[in-house]
Amino acid sequence: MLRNWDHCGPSEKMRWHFYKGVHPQVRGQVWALLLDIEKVKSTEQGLYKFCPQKMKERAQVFSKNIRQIDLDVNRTFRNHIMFRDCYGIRQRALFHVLRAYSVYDPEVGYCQGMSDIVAILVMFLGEEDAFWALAQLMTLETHAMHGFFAPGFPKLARFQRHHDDIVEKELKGLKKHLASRRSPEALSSRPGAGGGARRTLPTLPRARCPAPSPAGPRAPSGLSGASGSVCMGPGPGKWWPPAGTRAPCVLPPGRARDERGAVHHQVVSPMFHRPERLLKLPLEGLQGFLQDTLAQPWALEDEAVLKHLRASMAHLRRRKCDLPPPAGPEEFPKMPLGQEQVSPAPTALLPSPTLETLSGADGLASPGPATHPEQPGPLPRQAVLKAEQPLQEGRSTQPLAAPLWPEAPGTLVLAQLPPAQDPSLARLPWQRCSSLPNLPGHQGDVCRGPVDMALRPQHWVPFPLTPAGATPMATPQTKPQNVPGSPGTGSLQPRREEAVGPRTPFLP
Amino acid sequence: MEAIWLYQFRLIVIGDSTVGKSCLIRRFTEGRFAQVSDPTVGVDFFSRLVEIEPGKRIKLQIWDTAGQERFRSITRAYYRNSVGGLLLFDITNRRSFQNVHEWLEETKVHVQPYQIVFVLVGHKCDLDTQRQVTRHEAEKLAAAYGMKYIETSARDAINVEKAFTDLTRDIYELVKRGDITIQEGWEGVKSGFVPNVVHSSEEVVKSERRCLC
Repeated sequence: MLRNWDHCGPSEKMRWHFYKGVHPQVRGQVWALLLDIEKVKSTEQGLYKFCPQKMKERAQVFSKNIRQIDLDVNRTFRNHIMFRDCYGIRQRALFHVLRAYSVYDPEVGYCQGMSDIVAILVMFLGEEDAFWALAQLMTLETHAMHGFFAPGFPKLARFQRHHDDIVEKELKGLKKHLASRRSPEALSSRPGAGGGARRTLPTLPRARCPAPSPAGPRAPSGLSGASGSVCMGPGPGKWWPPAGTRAPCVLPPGRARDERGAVHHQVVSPMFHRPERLLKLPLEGLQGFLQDTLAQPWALEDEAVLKHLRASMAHLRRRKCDLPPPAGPEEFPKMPLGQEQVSPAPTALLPSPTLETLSGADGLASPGPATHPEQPGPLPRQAVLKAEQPLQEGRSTQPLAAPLWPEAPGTLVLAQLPPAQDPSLARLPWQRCSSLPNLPGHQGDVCRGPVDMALRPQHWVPFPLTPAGATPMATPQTKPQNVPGSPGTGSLQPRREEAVGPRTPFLP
Repeated sequence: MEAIWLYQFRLIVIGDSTVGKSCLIRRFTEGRFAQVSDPTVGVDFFSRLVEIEPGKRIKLQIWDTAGQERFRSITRAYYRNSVGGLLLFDITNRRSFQNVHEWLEETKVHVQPYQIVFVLVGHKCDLDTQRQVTRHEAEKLAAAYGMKYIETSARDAINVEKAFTDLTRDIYELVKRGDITIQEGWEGVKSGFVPNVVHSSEEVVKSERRCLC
């Protein structure tokens, strides 16, 4: 089927397959096909150039994003075996992808919540593919997650309103109950809807996490991958347009596919879990339900869950509330992606106690020719090169003081063809996080993906016991000797129980 | 059944990213400490009962907020409906301490027309060897803004209870004195549910009397 994708891909049969989930072994390949990654890569290669000056101007923004990325990478999926090692292969892949994206799409930069999504992508795809997958998810009209993360969260607000409408229409009792609990916002406003939704199923337009992730970090494990595929897959009742053919439809496929799924996931959770139960809960109970209970395994077969999901989707479709109002232009990238933005006023880099100056370009990326943000199809993008090719020259001029998050061969580097000519490149001081380690021994490890380790429960492990001093990333200057796999010594700490402890099934 | 409580206070916990807001709240509400916790995205909700005097229980609704600046647009909506707040910084991270001003300015703008009682919390005090902010300067800053200062550690459970109960007690005193009043349409302070109505109204009367004396 994979070999004959153009034929099989857009079929109804395939669509139903997605609901059951894609086998972890081929999940990465299927995602790559669904998101057209190969095509983007082949068409966009070589279009971008590396421009250190512009990078310098934007370095302050970068350092801000990078610091946050650094902090968050270290707390993303740390109880999963792939992300368990501090500065392990996957963690670095995650870091590189997020960093590259923050440069590629300066409007979004980095927003908390993206790390979960990218972590899932990195589990099944190589670094480079994961980057393009993210870029596609963000920018394709069919997914347009840009609006979830852009400042102000426009898409999120739209889904929020739609969610409120549906709750009012379909779950009147619940709405009334919430009002009587003196907290009308409990479910419909951000913490409620978001809190629960975020941890339940993918593509939730959750307010708490403005990011619909292919799988929430606490999604029932079996479902995560399946739902990720559903979200990327063809939408209900719509053909997934084969590569290159973007036939205009009444509803853009994205709205049919992604938004409808999002609405369902968001609304289905309360509906699915018997609203009458929720009616008996006080506010704390409701919040607990939304924040925690939903995230636990539902004590049902995945198939049963998906069956319910489909049923409620059909219900919503009948009631004509399966789609939120159309998106406004504010949800799409305004600035050309992957292009250098001309900063009005270059700002001086401010040294700070948590930053240190680091020489070297370190693959920070850059910008390329103009694209049209309105254009829904694949956009011209940067060249994605192997690190060993062009940047070596620049780097060799001056040894890196401390290669932070070292770029392994094959690492995603957004760079230029032909190689950067400016030897001063390597001497540009970059503000980087001092908490990043020096891990020269890791140069050889490449995150190639796809891998067959998935979100199966057995891969979720208790977080390794670490001493206080090794608290990740918190302290500059002291850590970096944290070799992956040996997180340190010291007093025992309570394990992280939320993700691995026994769960109480919610449904009888 | 609802637990019996005299008042319900809504608190908000703010501070820079990774200063340990979620861990502190989890330690307080669940009594445990997670080595790593996912970044908070948006706002999270917790609650716990606190007994400030024998028989007088206060329910705390605690809103945990995301530290990343982008989420301010969401989190600032919660200042208005909070009566108290814990402003956290990380004693091993000077920048988070420097940003305390910024956080205070931010709240000042958005809390109007209500008032909010803050306590400054120096978190991660178990990492004393990596300390970048001295107790003295933190106390000075807190005093300048009329806040209390307390150093806590969620990891070693140092002063976690104290931070919350002290704040609760302060707010309770203000409510008793009538400096903070329960207002319709404001979620900051609520009086207890039905089983307590008599009790709490007595309380109000009593406190008024005390004030007059």
